[in-house]
Amino acid sequence: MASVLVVDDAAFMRMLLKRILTQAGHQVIGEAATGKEAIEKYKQLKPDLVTMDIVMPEMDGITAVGEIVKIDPNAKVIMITAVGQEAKVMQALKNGAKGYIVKPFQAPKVLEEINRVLSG
Amino acid sequence: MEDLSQYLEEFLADARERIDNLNNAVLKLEEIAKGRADEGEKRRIIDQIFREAHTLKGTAATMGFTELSEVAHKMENLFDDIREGRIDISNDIVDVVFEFLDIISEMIDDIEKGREHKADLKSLYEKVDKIKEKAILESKTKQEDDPKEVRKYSVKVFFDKNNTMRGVRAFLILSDLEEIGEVIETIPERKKLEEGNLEDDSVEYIVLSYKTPEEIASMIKKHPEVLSVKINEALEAGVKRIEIYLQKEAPLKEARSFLIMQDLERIGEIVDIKPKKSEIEAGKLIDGNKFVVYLKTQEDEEIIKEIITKHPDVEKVELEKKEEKKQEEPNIQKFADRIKISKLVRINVEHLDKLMDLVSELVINKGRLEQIAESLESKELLEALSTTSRLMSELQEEIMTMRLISLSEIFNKFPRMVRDLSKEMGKEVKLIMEGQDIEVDRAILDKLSDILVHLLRNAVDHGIEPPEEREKLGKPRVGTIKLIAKREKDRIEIVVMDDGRGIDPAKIKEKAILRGLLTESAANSMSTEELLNLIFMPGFSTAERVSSVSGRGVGLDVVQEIVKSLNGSLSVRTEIGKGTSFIIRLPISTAIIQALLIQVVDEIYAVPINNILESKEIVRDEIRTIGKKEVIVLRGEIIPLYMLHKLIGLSQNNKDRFPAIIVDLGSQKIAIGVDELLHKKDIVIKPLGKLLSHVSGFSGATILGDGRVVLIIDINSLLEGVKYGGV
Repeated sequence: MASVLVVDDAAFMRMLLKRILTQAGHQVIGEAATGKEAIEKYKQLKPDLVTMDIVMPEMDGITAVGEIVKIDPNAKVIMITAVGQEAKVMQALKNGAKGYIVKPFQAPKVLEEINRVLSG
Repeated sequence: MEDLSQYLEEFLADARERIDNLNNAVLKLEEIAKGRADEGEKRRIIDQIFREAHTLKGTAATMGFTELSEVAHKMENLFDDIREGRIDISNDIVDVVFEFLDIISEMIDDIEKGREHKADLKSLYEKVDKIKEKAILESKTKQEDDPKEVRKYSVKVFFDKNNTMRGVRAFLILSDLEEIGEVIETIPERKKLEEGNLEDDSVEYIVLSYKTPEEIASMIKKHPEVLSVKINEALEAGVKRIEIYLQKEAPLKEARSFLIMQDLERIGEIVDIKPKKSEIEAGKLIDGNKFVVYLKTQEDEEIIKEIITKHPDVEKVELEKKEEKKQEEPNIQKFADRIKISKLVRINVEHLDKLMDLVSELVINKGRLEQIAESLESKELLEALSTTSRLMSELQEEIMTMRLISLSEIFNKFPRMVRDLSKEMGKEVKLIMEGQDIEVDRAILDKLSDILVHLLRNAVDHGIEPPEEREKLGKPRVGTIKLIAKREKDRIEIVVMDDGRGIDPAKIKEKAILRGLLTESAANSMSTEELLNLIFMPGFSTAERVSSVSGRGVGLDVVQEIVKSLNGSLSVRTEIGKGTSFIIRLPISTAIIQALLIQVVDEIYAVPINNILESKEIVRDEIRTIGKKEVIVLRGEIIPLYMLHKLIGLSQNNKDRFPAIIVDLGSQKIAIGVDELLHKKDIVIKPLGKLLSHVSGFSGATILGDGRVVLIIDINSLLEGVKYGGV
């Protein structure tokens, strides 16, 4: 059971993820639609885990990961990505993301990755 | 760490053998530097040197001789550079490599004697660095293309277990692999493969090559009878090779690979990754879904697997590891293997000496038993004794064989020595050796080494002329020294032959008179052969110029002395302007020899058969007198005759007919008259002991079956007084 902050500019995506996470027993304690918002919420909520979309307005996920890791080096951030965003994911991972989930979501894979990151 | 001191002797012997091999290989390399060998040969020799240095490094490290290992490592590196074409072979390199070998040799001596080593490694290393710098500068200006990367592979080849020829096939594959790289190890041991022997159904070759695994595999698969080939990179100690397969359809494999590697970095050190990191990050995996991590870690296989399989998209993980322990063992194992496989055991020679002594005692005791049995006229006892007797001769022969060592043990050192000497003396010399495979008794080999060193030195120093002089004489610039060993029954003949200036008897005469060794009149009455024999006289050849080569003031008299002590003979043949040959004849074994028992008045003496050319019945009327010497004529040859009675101070025999033995005194034959020739017998030589050791004329004593002590005549020292015109 972990507390999760879900970051995505698409509400639909947030909802999908929230459902998967909740069904697996995790608690979504917050949502954010931009990178900037994510940083604020992170400081405020100190979640166990962040799922972070890459392409977002104001501040993209790649930058946001970097910022969050700066605040909390142990932050566990998982990137949400789509095929074709390889270079961007790599960038995010280098910025300190601990994992990634590929859209469209497959619940088992999503949970596998989340559990891995949480246990690591 | 395990106590390795028990392997020390084995290690030292192994290391010395390697140094011999290296010396000879580097000599060949020097030829190559002069452009006298083809490319294939060159490659083979460089590979061999690299291999020997590499193994030496490994064994030294295993034994804990860090410094030695480091020196070998430096040398290995140098040859790696040569092999990869980064450095060309030059005279500088040959010289520096010889320096390496000398230092390694010294270090091994020091290890054996338990001494601290104080070699100046720094200056040697500096020299190497300079050579490298120079070579790199040169090659940079030459060409810029980067050499292919050499990788170390473990190539495992599986055969059909029912195929009895698999050993031969394995050997063929070994040869193939040597063509494309360097086979640094095989499991089972190389020796076994060379014998075409393979008990298992697979062979592992550890190969250094710039070929890709695919190229290697396809080459091996061309061989029929090969079931499969598995090629992996060979691993260093503690390194695990982790093959990670991602699901083929998984997206973002580069990101997954990245994360997995990140995880692995947490539990160890990533030594290498395939494909390259930049390629993985660009999504270029092997076969689209595989990458390999070489991880140095203490973690268990299970934990590593767990860490990786926790990731989504991972299809499977394959782990191959080389345990640190196992890495340490192979070298020790190699020694053990060698002993096992070649059925060879190294024994301290003292044990063999002791064994030989015991057998000698048995031989004597057997003789006594035989006499008792005869006096008792017991048929049964005699029969039992005859069986015992046969078994004992077998035992004796077996032990003698055990003590035999191949001449190559010492011959191997000579090419290097002659090279160094000739370089120092400004001569050009080619050494040709034959018969290295002949085996002689250990005790003889030790002494033979000293003799041959001396004779070879002489040949280079005094025999071979300087190249310019040779050219003027119409001889080839490069002089030839031949070292030839031949076996004749239980004797060996070793000839050291040069094609140099020869020895001038007139000059010997001059010198002998000058040195006061002879009066002028005595010298004038001497034959050419007698004159030549003067070079073996003490005080003759101790050269006034003590060069570092012939140096030490050791003369041929010492050589003669040693040969005599081995019951052998030394003679010289020479022709002015054509060359000189020294001929050494030695028994193969010393402890038990065949002797002829002879009788003078009522005393029995033993004469080693080796010394005797033939025996002859002499009729008193046939004895002639030349000058004041008695001689006989044998097949037209005039041979001085001496009576043994007179030589050993017994009353003269006056029979009309008496037997004589004809002996070879180097270049001169002499007849020795006795009263009776008894029979041939194997005798055991016993030293005379301190009280009698100053008595000249006898080399030892033996005990006959009836307990009688018989003196063994040493022909050379017995005739010492008469040889140069005395008596």
